[in-house]
Amino acid sequence: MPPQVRTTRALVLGFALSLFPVLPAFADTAVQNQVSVYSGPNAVGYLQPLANAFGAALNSSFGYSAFIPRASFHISLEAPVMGVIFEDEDKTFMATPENGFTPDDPQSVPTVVGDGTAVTVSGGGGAQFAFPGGLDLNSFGLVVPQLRIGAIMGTEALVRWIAFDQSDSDVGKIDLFGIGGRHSLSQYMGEKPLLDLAVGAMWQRVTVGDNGQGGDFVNTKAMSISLQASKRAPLGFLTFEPYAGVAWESFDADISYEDTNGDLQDISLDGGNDMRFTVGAGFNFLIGHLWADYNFANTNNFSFGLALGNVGHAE
Amino acid sequence: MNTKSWNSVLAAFVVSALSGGFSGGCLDDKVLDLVVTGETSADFPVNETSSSWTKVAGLDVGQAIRDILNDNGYDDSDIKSAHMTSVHYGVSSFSQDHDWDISGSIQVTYNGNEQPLMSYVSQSVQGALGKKIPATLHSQGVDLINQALADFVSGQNPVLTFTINNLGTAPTPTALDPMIFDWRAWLAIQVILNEEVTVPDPF
Repeated sequence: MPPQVRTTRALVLGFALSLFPVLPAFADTAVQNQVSVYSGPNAVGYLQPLANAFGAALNSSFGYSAFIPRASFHISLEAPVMGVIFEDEDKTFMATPENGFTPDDPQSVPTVVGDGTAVTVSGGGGAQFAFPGGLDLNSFGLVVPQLRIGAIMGTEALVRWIAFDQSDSDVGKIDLFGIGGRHSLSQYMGEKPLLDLAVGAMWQRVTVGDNGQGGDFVNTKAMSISLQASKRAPLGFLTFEPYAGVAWESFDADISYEDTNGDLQDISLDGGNDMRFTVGAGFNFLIGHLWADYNFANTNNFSFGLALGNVGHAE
Repeated sequence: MNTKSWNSVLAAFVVSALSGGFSGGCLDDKVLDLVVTGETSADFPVNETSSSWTKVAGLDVGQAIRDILNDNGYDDSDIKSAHMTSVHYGVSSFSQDHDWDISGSIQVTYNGNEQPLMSYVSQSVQGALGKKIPATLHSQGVDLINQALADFVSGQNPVLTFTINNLGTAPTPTALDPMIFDWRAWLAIQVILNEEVTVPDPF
């Protein structure tokens, strides 16, 4: 086996093994404990920033290049890192005291990503109601392994998958599956199109954790349809490739957890994004591709990552 | 160095940076306020032949908090504070042919100190059947209960006594027409715990 092939295989294996354990990029047990005092609208408000971030991250990094060959065998194992930096407005929400506490005036209290200190308010006769603190998070991150295979008739497939159950540890349980495809439009634009252009769609389903009664803590579905343009430019032994895109997306999350009385609470959340605009750039080299982009939407996010495989795009 | 070698070096560098940096630096240890809400209750069986009567029930607050914590997988070692949130009352069983209207108050006693907690005026027994009616609280009784909860946090095992002083009943019960029902009072408590968690906060 040629040395470079051995090196590439070792890198791919090491890359995959080292990143997979950090995939469950949020602590479901800690979140369940914190939200357990809430029900209904309070629980929705408390968890909404995390749902927004999860949806924004999950609908990222499908494509870092609009160039898809008309016909050739390309395969790459990829690890996009997708992040959201929380803003001040994500840190609080208006919650209403529960359990018959009076007065039930709305109060500004921490969301799940907000300050870790509980907020206590006084009511009739000096009774008190405490709203839980958040997890005091500055950011949200997600690493999702994905496999890209192409190309037939200018079309490639993309699969995201990871599943493991370590419920006895802090890592928890994750089951993620996503499948999508992208199709080159620039193949119909002549021999040397000014830009590479591609359309794509991706569907994903993720379940996380256990609600204590045999069901999932989080059950989400995400969908994205995108249009992307990119331009390849040789740069020494690399190919520099800026890109931009627009996408429609959806994200729905069903949350199920036990409240502090042991009763099951079921709520549904929507991700905050409908449309996103992406700008980014990548460097393509012989055995991989390195990229980074920023996504403008209701919840902005960024992503970067590395693809390893024969994804050489240089001409 | 040729192009292939440059590619391998670049790939190795990026792999190391991504895997090592992201997996090693994204977890933070934090101490958060966790709120646990629980409820305990006292029952007062009523079988009276007069308008005015008194019923007493004890409540082991320490055991009640330990039960709340145990139900949620915690123990009392991480308690930061505890307070009462609300009191509800209601009738848990009643099957007589006609209703009764009752008026009176509930007192709470702790360490020999008795304070008013709530009052009820012309409360229909039938109307309270199967319900949890929020009580309008008196601050003296709330303060006393919160003192008991604070004593629990500081390591004591407080026991509260609740006393119903019923002052009036309409119509007036008699030996031939006694007033029979089961009365229940619920005390909602919140406990704030210090919870140490390790959460991902990668950027």
